[in-house]
Amino acid sequence: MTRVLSFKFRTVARVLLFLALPLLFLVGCEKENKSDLKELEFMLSGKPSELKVLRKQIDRFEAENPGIKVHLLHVPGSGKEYEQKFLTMAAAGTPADLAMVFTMIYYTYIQRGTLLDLTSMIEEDPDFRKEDYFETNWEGLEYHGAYYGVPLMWITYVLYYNKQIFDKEGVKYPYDGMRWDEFVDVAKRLVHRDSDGRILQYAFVWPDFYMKESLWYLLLHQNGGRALLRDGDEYVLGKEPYVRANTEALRYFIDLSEKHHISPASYELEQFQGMDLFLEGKAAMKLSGSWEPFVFRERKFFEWGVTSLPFSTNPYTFHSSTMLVVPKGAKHPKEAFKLAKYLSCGEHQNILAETGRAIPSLISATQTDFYKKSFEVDRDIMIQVAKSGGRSGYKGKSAMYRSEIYDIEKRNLELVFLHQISLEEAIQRIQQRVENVLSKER
Amino acid sequence: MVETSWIRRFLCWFLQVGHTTSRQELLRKGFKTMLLYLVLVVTAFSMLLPFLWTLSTSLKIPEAVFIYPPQWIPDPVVWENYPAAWNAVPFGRFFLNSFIVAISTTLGNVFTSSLAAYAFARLTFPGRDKIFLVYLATLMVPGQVTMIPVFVLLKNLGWIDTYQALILPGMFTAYGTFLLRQFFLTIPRELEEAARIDGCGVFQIYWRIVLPLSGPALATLATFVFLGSWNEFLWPLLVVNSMNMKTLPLGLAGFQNLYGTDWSLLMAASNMVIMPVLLLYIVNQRFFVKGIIMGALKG
Amino acid sequence: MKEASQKSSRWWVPWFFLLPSFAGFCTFMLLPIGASLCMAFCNWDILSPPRFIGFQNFVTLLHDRDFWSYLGNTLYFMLGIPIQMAVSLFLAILVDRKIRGIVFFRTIFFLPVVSSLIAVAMVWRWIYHPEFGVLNELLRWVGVSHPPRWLGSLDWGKPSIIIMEVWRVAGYDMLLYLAALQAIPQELYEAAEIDGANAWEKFWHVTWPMLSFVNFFVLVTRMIGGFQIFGQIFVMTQGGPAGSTTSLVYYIYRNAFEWFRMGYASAIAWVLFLLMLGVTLLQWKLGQKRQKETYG
Repeated sequence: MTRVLSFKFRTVARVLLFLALPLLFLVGCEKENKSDLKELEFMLSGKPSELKVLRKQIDRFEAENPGIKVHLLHVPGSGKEYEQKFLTMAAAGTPADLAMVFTMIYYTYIQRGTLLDLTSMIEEDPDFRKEDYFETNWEGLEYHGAYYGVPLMWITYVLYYNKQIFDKEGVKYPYDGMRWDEFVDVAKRLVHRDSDGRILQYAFVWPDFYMKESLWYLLLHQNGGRALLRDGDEYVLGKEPYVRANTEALRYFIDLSEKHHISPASYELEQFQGMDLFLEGKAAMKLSGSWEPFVFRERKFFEWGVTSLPFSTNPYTFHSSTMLVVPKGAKHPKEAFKLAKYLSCGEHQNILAETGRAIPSLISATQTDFYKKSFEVDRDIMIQVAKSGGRSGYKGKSAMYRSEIYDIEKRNLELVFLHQISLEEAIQRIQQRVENVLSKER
Repeated sequence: MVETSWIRRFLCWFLQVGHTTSRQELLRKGFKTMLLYLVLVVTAFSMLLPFLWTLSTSLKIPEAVFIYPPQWIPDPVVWENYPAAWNAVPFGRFFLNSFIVAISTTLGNVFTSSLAAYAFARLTFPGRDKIFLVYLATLMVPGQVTMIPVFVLLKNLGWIDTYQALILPGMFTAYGTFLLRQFFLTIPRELEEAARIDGCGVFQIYWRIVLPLSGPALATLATFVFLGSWNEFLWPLLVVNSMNMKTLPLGLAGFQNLYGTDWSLLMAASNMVIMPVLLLYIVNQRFFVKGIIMGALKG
Repeated sequence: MKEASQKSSRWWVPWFFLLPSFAGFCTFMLLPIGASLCMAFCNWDILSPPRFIGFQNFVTLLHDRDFWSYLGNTLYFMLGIPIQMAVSLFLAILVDRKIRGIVFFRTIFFLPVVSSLIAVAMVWRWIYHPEFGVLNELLRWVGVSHPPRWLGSLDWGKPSIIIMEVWRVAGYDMLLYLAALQAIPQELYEAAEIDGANAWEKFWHVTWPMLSFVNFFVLVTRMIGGFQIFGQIFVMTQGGPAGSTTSLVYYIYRNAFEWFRMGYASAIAWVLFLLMLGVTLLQWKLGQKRQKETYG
């Protein structure tokens, strides 16, 4: 009897001790901060090298503003993780104080009610002068008369080309104002195959997200068609009077890989993800955004040039901004706004210009030597090109269902690439299903 | 007395047989063993191929990663990728965090699961099988839908960005209980009966008989739980905000971003991250020797 | 048996064993699962308060063509399970011996399990590359002129993932089988040998029955895992091409985190759950019968 009791005692003691273990962590990890220090959480994504540069800037900000401390909340990964984390934090009521978002998700978040209206803060601040910034940026930030973000930087889509490949083939470089037909002819001369007919060098590649984010809308506009009307309130891919122009543009798009074999098919491009064909010298041209110089710089033996995109009837490109927003429920919105202002007005804009990560929003930053001299290539074309372009995000209803619409478009177009259905049928299917999504009462 | 040339002595050592085995016997065993090794090597090679690729990629310069035809032996060999990867992000801190989380989760899970598994396997109480089915059922609910409720729960407890948030959810999954219950069921009841006759209390039977005999099962579970915790990405992503609480998978993901992937650094980092789990696995192999079980049964 | 005399004099003993696990289990498992059940009857976009809509999500589900198509994909993926189990068992038997250097081989077989899914998926994506990948290189070398496009093909997308999975998890179950093989008492083999059994008969009459518990565990966990396949698709194909490799859980993920339809996602998860429950109960009943046969 006594033996059993002592065992019981011992085991009870052991179990209690074990259960106490997690409590030790609790005690160990409590870092109660009861000072007057205002701690900001700044959520962003980007390369580690970018972060280091940003951190230095933020340290300067902290030095100029004692009483504010900034924690960088870096979200790794390629984009999906960022949105997921943002969502989860917003759902739990603990969003970051400041976050970096770009045009396409900006409107979605506004419509879902997650961003703070910053209009009064911007208008009351004498340092914020609209003329100092590119018009496209402000227009993009505005939503139904209010501003929910502060401009930081922006990009346009341009055509990059590998000078070495062009020189080797003896082909003239692509130029501003080139038309689709000529583009295809030029491209055909740049494709290399091996003895089995396998393609070793492509002429033209897209970024790996172009199907996921309907970058091919570009082509629709360039041919005089469009997919969205009234700034995204209505979907007209398969509707008159646009359907003819749209079908032509999509036919061109599909022929690039299926008929002319100058670029890999869309779904295969996803497989290449991580392997940038252009960077590896396996593609002569690439349609991409103005962040590429940042990446190109890391490759030493690479000579590249940049020009505007070829078009058929209408020179058109997209531009997209990255802005700083303050989520609703942020603990220190005023301080967050201060930080946002610091990054968008000051020295940081020059640093952005120098790294080539994007085009700074502050006009003056693009007129300095930092911008003009930091790359061997003239980057002004990126700014000019944007003047003939449109916003890559839409403020209407479609912003709310952006991701679903992309998915429908992507899946049905892939079926066309895979020869399962015809292009016309795909367009009609897409039209139907997107209308369905837009009309649902959510 | 048998003549022992050095070949013979080597073969006897290698094949683990006594010195007195006949020549015939030795040749036969040798042949069988050679065949076995052949099969092992071929299978191992097919498993190893992708790793040889990651190893080779981790030592390349970025330009050489995708050249065609594929280059198996890097030229030049960039050993600096490893320290470069280590320094690109605070790997030391990430390793520490991952260790703390993984070890705590493993100890907690193995301990609580083994207790519960014993209850389900050998003790009777009302509703035993029904409760066990509930345990099983929870394995069937996809994590994606429970993530947000757990997150909200942790937020209400104020445990976001703490070790508790990383450790506790992983500690109570039903996998361990299920696994150990199955193993406990295979332990012969006679042993437990004998112990009971000797006057052992229930806990003593558990502690002195069942647990030691489950060496391989416990080691297996420990390896699995450690592994799961070590490689967990989605949950830490949601729950960790600050840099100094990140775990290794989050650190690895840092090499992959909107502009493409730093392949050689990513591979170098991945190889470093694999090491501790591999070591744990090798150490646990000690439990996978037949002799231990036999000894317990006979004794 | 003697258990009957173990009466309820110490009724709290089992609970003493069960409590630590059960307490955490209720907090971190049952509670969130209950919450997700409530979510299934609501319309919730995560950012605004949920709205109760009754069974509407389930009705939508039944008419959702995508749901049925993705269910089909998921079941297809599960065809790889018997292959996985066979390969793992084969490996376990292979390494269940005391020859020199066996630990080295056991480690190599476990290597795929240990690596992070991201690194493994990237490497396999490279292997499966239609133009530059190692696999097609090999196939072209042996004379196949137009090897499949693997992850970019409607027909070969799912098999590609199955093959990668078999490779990746073989070592995992191998460990379980190994532990089970180690627990089989040597006397049973010796007795069989005395009776004149050969290698195959020894396997079939001694090894296989003694593995029944582990087999049950592996089968059930693999099926449950198979129904929930997600990570591989997330990293390797993002559900493409044309949705041919989208699994149900991937669909759930997209609904919850990309399309702001958490309520619908929960509903799908619960239907999936009921499906898995049904299948597992079936296996359980069959397992109980087997258990009674072997152990009495």
